[in-house]
Formats: sequence, structure tokens, C-alpha cells
Amino acid sequence: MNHIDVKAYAVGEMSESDKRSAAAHVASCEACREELAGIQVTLSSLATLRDEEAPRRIAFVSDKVLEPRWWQKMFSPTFASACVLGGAILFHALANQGPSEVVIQARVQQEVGQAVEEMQDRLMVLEQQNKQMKQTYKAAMHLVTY
Amino acid sequence: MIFREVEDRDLIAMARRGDVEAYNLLVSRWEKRVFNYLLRLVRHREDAMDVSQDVFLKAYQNLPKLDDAAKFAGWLFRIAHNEAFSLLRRRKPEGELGPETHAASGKGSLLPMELSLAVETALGALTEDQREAVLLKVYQGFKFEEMAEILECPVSTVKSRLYTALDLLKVSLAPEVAR
Repeated sequence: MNHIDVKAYAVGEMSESDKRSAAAHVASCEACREELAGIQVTLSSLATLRDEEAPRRIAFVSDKVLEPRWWQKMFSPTFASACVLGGAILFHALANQGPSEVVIQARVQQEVGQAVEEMQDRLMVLEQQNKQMKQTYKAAMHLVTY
Repeated sequence: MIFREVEDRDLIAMARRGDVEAYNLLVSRWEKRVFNYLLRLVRHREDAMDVSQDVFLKAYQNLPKLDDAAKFAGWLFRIAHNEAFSLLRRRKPEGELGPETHAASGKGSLLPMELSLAVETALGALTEDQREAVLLKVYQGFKFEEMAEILECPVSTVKSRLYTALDLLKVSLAPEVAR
């Protein structure tokens, strides 16, 4: 009888199909069953060791030299998308000069309205994410002991 | 509107742009795992803490070199492995510093303390390579392939170290389990 790699099976290093055939083999092979039981006892013993908290928190302070410059910040995804959107609106307005001024104005207002709504939604998402990160960071910083 | 948890890759991207707060948040997510891996490998609390700090500093400095943010865990543990073995090489001969991990703190022993201490001793009796294989597989849950990348060795070596370690642990822990 060809035995299986019991240790690989015990530590979860098998594909789903291999696991199924290994389980079937273990059920019918006493030697593999015994070996598996022994490894599982060892793994259970190892699991009694609990993770410890680090004695101090690790945190780094901001280094101004490494911070992005103002012009680098301008190229953030939010700013870039706002520029693209603004350009598209302007291009659209200029390219469709056929209708009357009132129609153009209405169209621009509509486009701008939509763009503002989209940007507001996007801003809300970013604000929420920022708030969430600040809360997590604040909680982490609260635990820092020096 | 869809809200999603800020993922490691977002924090990595922000940290790469120089956002230290984002990096600190990333550190807070990983420091416990890294500290415990180092604690059990170098078996000295202060050394483990010092090496942890070095690991995260090196990781920050080398973050731009990380090709794939999805591989951050393996990449971080590879730095930790290199730093730990650098310390262990400086510290040779092994054994001059006794185990000073759980026995010193007395914390975290939710199950019978005797068994935890026996596990601590049994892990300490393994070679550093064998112990590290157990730490990465059993406690950190890495796959053999990932372990091979962290340790920069073939998968067959990883398996050999782990399997030998499990056999030794089985023998050394058997009397404790039988109690």
C-alpha cells in the first residue's frame, strides 16, 4: 500500500482533491491513522503557546524630508480626476456651440451638477476612510508606551 | 455608496508616498506577529523587541523595492528572518542566553502552564532552522512555497526541517501530553 504524506496532510499543505483522497486513505490505513493522531497531538500542544503582546509599541515619526512636496500632493488621484472632469466639461461646452446660450448654460449646469455630486460622493468615501484610519491610528497611539 | 476596510495594499501605497501615519497603521497590524516570531526564534524579549524595530525600519526604507504589495507578509518575514539570523550569528555560541520568553512574563498561558512551558522547552531544544520552520508553518501559517521564499531555500529543505522538527517535538512532548 502506498502511504500518504501524513505531515503535509496534517499541516494543511494539500489541494482539496488530494485532501479528499488522503482522508480516504487514512480511514483505511491504520499506520497512517496512528501517525496522523500523533502529529495532531503535537500540533495541539504547540497551539497552547499564546502570542504575547510586544512590551512597547513601534511607531515612527514623520520626517519632513521624506514627505511629498506641494506639487506632488497636487498629483493625487482626487485632484487629477477633478482636473479631467473639469476639462471634459469645458471641452464639451466648447465643442457644442450650436445651440443657444441658454441651452449651453443648462447643459453646463447639468454637467457641473453631476460632476459636483460625483465629487461629493467621492469626497464622502475618502472622508470616511480617513476618519476610520484616524480612529484606528488614535487607538493604536493610545496604547503606545514610551 | 460602498465602504471597504482600508487594506494593507492601500497603506503600503500611502506609505510609499511618504505617509508615515499610514505606515504606523501598517506596523500596528503586523508588529505582534513579527514580535512573537522573533521572540520564539531569538528567545530573548528585549532582543526580539529591538530586532522588531529594526525590521520595521528596514521595511519602511525598502518599501519602494517591494514589487507586489500582495506579497508583503512574506517580504516582511524575510527581513525579520535576515535580521534574526544576523543577531543569532553575532550571539554565537548558542545557549549562553537561556530561554527568557513566556517563563519571564508569565502572560498568555490560558491553558495549563506546565504544557506551555514544556512546549517552550521543546521548541528551545530544536535547532534554529527547525524551530523557525515550526514558527513559520504552525504559528504564522505560511505555505511551503512562501517559507521557501522567506528562507531562500528549496521547498524540499523546508519540508525536511519541519518534518524533523515535528518528529522531535512529538517525542519530547509525549510525556507531557500523557500526564
